[in-house]
Amino acid sequence: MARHMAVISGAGCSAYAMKSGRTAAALIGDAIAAALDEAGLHKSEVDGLIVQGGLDYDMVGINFGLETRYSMQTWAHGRLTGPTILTAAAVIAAGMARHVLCVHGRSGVSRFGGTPSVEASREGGGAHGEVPYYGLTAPGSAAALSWRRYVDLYGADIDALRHVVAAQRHNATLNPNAVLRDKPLSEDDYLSERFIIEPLRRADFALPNDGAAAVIVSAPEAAPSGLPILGGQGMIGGRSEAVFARPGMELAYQDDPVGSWTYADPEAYRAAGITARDIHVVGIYDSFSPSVILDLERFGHCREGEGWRFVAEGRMAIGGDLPVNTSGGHVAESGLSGWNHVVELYRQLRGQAGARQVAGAQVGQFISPNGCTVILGAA
Amino acid sequence: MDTYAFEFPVPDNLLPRMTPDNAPYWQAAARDQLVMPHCEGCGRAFFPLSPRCPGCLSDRITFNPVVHEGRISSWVRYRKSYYPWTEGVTPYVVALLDIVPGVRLPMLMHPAPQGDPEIGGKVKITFLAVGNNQKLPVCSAV
Repeated sequence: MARHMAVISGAGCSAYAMKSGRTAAALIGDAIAAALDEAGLHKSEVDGLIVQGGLDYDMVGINFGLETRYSMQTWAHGRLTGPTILTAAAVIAAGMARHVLCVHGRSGVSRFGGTPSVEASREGGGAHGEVPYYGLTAPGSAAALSWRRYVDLYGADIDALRHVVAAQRHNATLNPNAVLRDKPLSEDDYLSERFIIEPLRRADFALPNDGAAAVIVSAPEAAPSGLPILGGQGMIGGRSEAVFARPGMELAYQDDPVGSWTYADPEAYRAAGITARDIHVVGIYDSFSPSVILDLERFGHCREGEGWRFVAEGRMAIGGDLPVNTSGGHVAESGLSGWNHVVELYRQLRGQAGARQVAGAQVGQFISPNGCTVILGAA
Repeated sequence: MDTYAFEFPVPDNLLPRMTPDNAPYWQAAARDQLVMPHCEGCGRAFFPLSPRCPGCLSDRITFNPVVHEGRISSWVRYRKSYYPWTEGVTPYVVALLDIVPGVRLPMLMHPAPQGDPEIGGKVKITFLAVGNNQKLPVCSAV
């Protein structure tokens, strides 16, 4: 096995519900307790903390009786989920902690894109390209622009998103904690879903539900049965990126022209000593369904411009070539900024995924936005 | 392409806030003129507005007029109203425009197209009066 600097020793989540009637703090408490139990750790052993939204780091420590020698919190955007895990691994490699608890939670977010935030009014637009004075108010704007652009560049079927959504809605029926566990959606029914931001329909959007997740990243020697982080690469910052897109699509502020991007094995694969074909199960950050198609291409699971065919051929299904978003993902399990994907990969690699278990899952991949990925192995 | 005009009642608190960095842009817009920052060092035009050139980091920036036209590279149509003020406004279309090399930005299509805008299609840029004596650059098909 490749040398690795950290492992995931435990992961857990709260119950997911549209309106839980519970605070983010209570949900985060459930997730922390579940993750500690899974890792076989007592809270006194946790000496690092990174919070990625829901409750400030100081109240996590105060409410749940932690004393952490490394404590941090990030911008509360889901794109920081992969980077949070990699930062935790780096903190461990640097000897600043042995068990870093990473947490995220939310409650009472009934919709996104409504109240104008200070952030959406930044010079240059919001984090998803929002420009409130043009009525470009919701995070789905960037994903909708990206999908229309993709369809034009590659001659794709604009309704190919139905394959992504129907597959994930099916996966959710196999997941007792999925918010939409009782609501499968066929490809035909997808086409009668109403448009929200055309070309995206309601079913293409992440669920605005309540929930929390916790993931414990540990030193390998402190958690011998943890899941190794085999490789990873951070989030790219700069004009080459447009959120919910790929480099070289001439979206947002990308200077690099169309045609300038070509697939090369990512650094994370080289670190793990693998290629895309060695990966058994993938979780893709899907706050908007087009990301599944774009990120399958970006990380070499199919060729550029062919992601829409990949999903149309049923290859992302459980039992297909490469099962993707087996829990239902953001669109059907829980809109939890990617943390639910990490919990799901943990369960898949531990053989705990029940009716949706991918047979022989030994290598899992979490794909976070803007080029970040984390490769996990089985214990 | 056929178009139609419509009310676009942006509340004052959502209008662009003037800063020392962006004032030349909005002051020109109020005079029906589209300007973009150009770097005196490397000559590059750029967007979004920034106190330094993203190409060479020079802080010698001048705002020069650019053509009042662009090409559509993508577009979206808002069907859902996310704010009370857009309830009578939906559906509306926002297009992503390439204007000059280095400058790409979204703009409301106003007047709005009757059908789907054409990707690669040319638009002209005009100015829509809103509150606070401000004007927003907007685009429409030609």
